[in-house]
Amino acid sequence: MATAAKILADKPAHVPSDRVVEFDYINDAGIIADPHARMREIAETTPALFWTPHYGGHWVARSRAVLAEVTTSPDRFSSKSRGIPAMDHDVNLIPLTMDPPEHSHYRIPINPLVSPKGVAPLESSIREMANDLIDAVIAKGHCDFLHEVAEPLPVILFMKLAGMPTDRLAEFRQLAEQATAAPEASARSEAFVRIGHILAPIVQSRMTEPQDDLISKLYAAGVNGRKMTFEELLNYSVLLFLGGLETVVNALAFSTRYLAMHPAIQQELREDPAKIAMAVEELLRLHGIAFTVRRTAADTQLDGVVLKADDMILIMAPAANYDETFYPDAASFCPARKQPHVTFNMGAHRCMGANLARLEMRVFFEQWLARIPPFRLDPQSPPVFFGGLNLAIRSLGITWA
Amino acid sequence: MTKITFVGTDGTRFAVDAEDGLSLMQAALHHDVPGIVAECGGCAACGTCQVHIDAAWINRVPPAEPLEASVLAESENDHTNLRLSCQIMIDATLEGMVVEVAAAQR
Repeated sequence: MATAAKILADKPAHVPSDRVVEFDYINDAGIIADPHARMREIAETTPALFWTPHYGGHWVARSRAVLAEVTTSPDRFSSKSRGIPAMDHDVNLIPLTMDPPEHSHYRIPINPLVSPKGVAPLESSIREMANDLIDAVIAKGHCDFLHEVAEPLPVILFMKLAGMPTDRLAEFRQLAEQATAAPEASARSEAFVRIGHILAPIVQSRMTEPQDDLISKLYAAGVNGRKMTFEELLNYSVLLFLGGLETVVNALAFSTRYLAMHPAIQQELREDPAKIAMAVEELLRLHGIAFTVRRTAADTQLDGVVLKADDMILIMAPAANYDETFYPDAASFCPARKQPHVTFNMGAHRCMGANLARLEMRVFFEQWLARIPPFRLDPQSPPVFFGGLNLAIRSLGITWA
Repeated sequence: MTKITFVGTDGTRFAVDAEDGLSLMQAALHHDVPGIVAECGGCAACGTCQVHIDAAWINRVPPAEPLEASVLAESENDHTNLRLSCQIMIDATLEGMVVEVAAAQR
């Protein structure tokens, strides 16, 4: 598995020696031991912008200020790239790998579907799904939170929303994981192709027989005054699939793990559920999930360093959330913080599903904390973590027996 | 420098000397005007810097581009003279402008 990852690039002449940190974002031992403890360590011990020789050599933007500059300067830092490690062709996901103004044309039709107003009607079905999942585990006094709760909730909701069949949940998640976490570029390419094959017939049918779902509405809205082609709509759907199947699953699971380790916070939220919405923001800050990628468009200065055209940058929002200059006492749970977190990233590509994610997390924790007694980590079944473009948990045993 | 008066949601007035070339959102953040979140950093991507432009000044700012309009169309705020403050650049023609921070941000 890891053979490709172990080939280290030589340091290019333009990279200062004091900016080199050997960091493998997919197989890093610290991430696999405890992802967010590692994010905090990186925030405290590495340069704001550093270069790693892994995966052909790339920059890592880990500070909040560098993240903001990179993500809000699309003319200098393009979203069009071959990924890290490089595939043999450009990664092409609408609108993730587009730059403004093209990006805006494709962002406009999704906006009404993912706005606070657009997602509000889902609240009752989210609450119902949360209650069903709680019903299934509450009596036994323990569960694998990842497989029994965190995974089904957002994934089934998202699949219903997008008009996808829900009977292939396990297969879909495995593909989403492969697309974001496989160290081999070829395995990731293959996952994209297989996701496309699964979605193609759904997309085809929504173009001719629209349903009350996201893909149908996206098609109806059109882009820049015209309808999307089949290829465009399929491509956009692949992005929705990747966005919806991995991120909330992990945000829910990491947040629940944190609450399991902090009984006083659990208790405070049980006693005053009105505090849950703000607590979710702080849980999201402490548990950022996604890394994103940019390519330097032309030679440019960043954080006092010269970057060369086509240099690749990995943006580590989950580490920027531990940047002490923006989040004093960053490891502490402080829901009253003034600075917004960057778990949804910044810039034109700021997460389009943020309102849906927030709604799911608030409603889920309202139900979970109202019904499940004080819970803690199950020492018999320690969590398993992995890295890649999403920080992720593979299992999370908790108990309230 | 251009004088801009921000009005907070509780009615508190913040008269600031704002640097030309910045957006209203950036000026509000630099002067600690409460209520402007600006999650996305100024790209019309999040809808967390919504303001009402005083009617006397609304014709001096360029109209919203389609991306901004698609965000504003979804707002829970009164839509009259509602704008994303990240999309309005400050220059001398805005001297004395009054900008109210909108109640709902998101």
